[in-house]
Amino acid sequence: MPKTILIIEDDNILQKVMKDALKTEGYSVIQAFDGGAGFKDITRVKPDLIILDLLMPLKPGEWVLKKMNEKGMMDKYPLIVLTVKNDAANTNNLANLNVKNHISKSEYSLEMLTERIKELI
Amino acid sequence: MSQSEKSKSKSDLRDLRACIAEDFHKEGELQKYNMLFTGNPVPMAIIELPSRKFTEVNAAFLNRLQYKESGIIGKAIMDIGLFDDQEKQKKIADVLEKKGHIRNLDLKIRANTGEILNVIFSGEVFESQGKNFFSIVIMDVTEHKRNIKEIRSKTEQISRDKSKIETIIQSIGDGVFVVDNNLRIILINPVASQLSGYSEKEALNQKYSKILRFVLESDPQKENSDFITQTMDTGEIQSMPRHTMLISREGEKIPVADSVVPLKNKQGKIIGCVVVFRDATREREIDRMKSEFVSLASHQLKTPMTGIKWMSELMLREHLSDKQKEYMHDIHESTNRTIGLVDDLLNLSRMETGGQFNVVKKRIDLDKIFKEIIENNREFAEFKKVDIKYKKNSPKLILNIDRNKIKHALNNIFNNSIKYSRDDNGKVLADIRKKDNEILIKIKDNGIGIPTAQQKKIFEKFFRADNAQYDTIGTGLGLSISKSIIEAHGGQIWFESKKDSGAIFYVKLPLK
Repeated sequence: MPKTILIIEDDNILQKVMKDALKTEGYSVIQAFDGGAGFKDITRVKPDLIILDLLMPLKPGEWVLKKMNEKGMMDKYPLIVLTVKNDAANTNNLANLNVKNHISKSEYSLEMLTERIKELI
Repeated sequence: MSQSEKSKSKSDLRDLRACIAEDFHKEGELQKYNMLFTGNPVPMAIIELPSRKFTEVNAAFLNRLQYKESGIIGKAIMDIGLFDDQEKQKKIADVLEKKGHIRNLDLKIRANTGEILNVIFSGEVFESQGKNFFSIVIMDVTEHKRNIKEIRSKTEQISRDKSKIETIIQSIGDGVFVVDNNLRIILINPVASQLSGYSEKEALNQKYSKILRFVLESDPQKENSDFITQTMDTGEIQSMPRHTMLISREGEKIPVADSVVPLKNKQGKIIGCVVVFRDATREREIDRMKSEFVSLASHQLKTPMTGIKWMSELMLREHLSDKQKEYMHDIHESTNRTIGLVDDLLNLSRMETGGQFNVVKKRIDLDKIFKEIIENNREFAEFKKVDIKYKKNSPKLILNIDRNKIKHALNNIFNNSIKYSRDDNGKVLADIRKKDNEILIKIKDNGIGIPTAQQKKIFEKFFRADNAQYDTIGTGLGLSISKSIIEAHGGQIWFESKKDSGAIFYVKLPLK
């Protein structure tokens, strides 16, 4: 049974690249294009790992994180948060939302991302 | 004048002297007369009446009015054009007629050369040996009057200048105040008074820090007006630090900007300073908006850039021809460079808004970071055929730092040392030394160096040295960002370099 990864990301291209890369690695991939749909998918699919983008229209990543914190879901799901802001304010904010893994998209290669996933599941 | 007339006037003169001497009734009186009349520095003359002819003039008279004795003796006073003013001439003529006297008549007279002199004229008719004479004394006040006129005109000029300066200071759109040696306000203009909330009357003679409270935006509790005391100490013009604010009487925080100029006396001693400042609310707002825009645009750019980067990474895993692989690799590298540039812009906009970076420090092994930096630059060094050496004096170099930022700062320096190396024979040596409380990082290259004249500017934003302009790519932001990062960690950065003989960059970081 392949492990399931839920990607919550509004950018089509990044969705496609990550899906292709992760499928090649043998994962099963579920895609959500905004926070609202993504959060529903978490409860519906119960993925083995979530990749969550922060900057999204309507319901951003932060909304999803708050919901997950409210429902006590943070420890249940391994989570990698994708950011474009690698400044201190952002880091502190994520720490307050109990995020343990966050990566700056532009500094990471796909290879580094998949290695990180392998470390977590 | 005929010869006989001349000899007559001379004999008259002898007569007169004899008469006067006789009048004194004493021996030696002629000598006194000579002293009083002939040698007197005040121009004097004696005119015989009723002929009104000059019978005697003293040396001062001849000298001041530019006559020769022979040219004036025997001439009638009204005939030589002595008086400029007809009315006054008539007045004098009347006196002569009535045998009276004139005291201190303010008068203009004409010298033989035509020069007009301002004089105080006095004259008196007197009788001697049954003859009437008219003695005149002329006090030349031309020089005196000229001096008074000059003084008056200078005084007027000064008062005009003074009122001009006062008008400028009063109506200037910027706040201006002047403090003396004791830092007391001796002048304050309406704008400064309006911004501070204190009237001129309330502000004058007060210590400026009571009236004009300057603070930094980042720490509004702490007074920051070092720029004023520094001006007093150094005698140099100082700028207010970026993000200075003025706290008004009502507690309003007003962003202000500008500078302080020392006031020096003639001996060069500092006797106070002039502070000029303006309300910078609007420009600070525009600055903030600009930085926010740059920040937003940069963040928005990063997602599509990541798309290209990851896509090219996936593509490189496919079966491609060598040429295709090379092109795809170039796309990947260009994207990385663009992302780096966007990061620089972001860092810059952060520096612009906050003044400094926010650093989140953790205990990090600098050795690991440095090895990563070398690894990231290895391909570039191989391409440039630059030989890299790395030395350290301790197995572990644990520091309390913001990992990403220090890596970024050191990478900028390390990458520069490869970038500006000579092709084919480049050598870069990195040396990290742990000392008691600090770590000293030394990065040495044998590249093109930095021209001495431009070394002062090397850490300025967007500055690129002449010899770096054309051959290599760069924005001129790297070192400026590195410096900000290192200083935000309480560290220091400096360098030694000569054009064409390489450069050594030093970075000192505290251990804790």
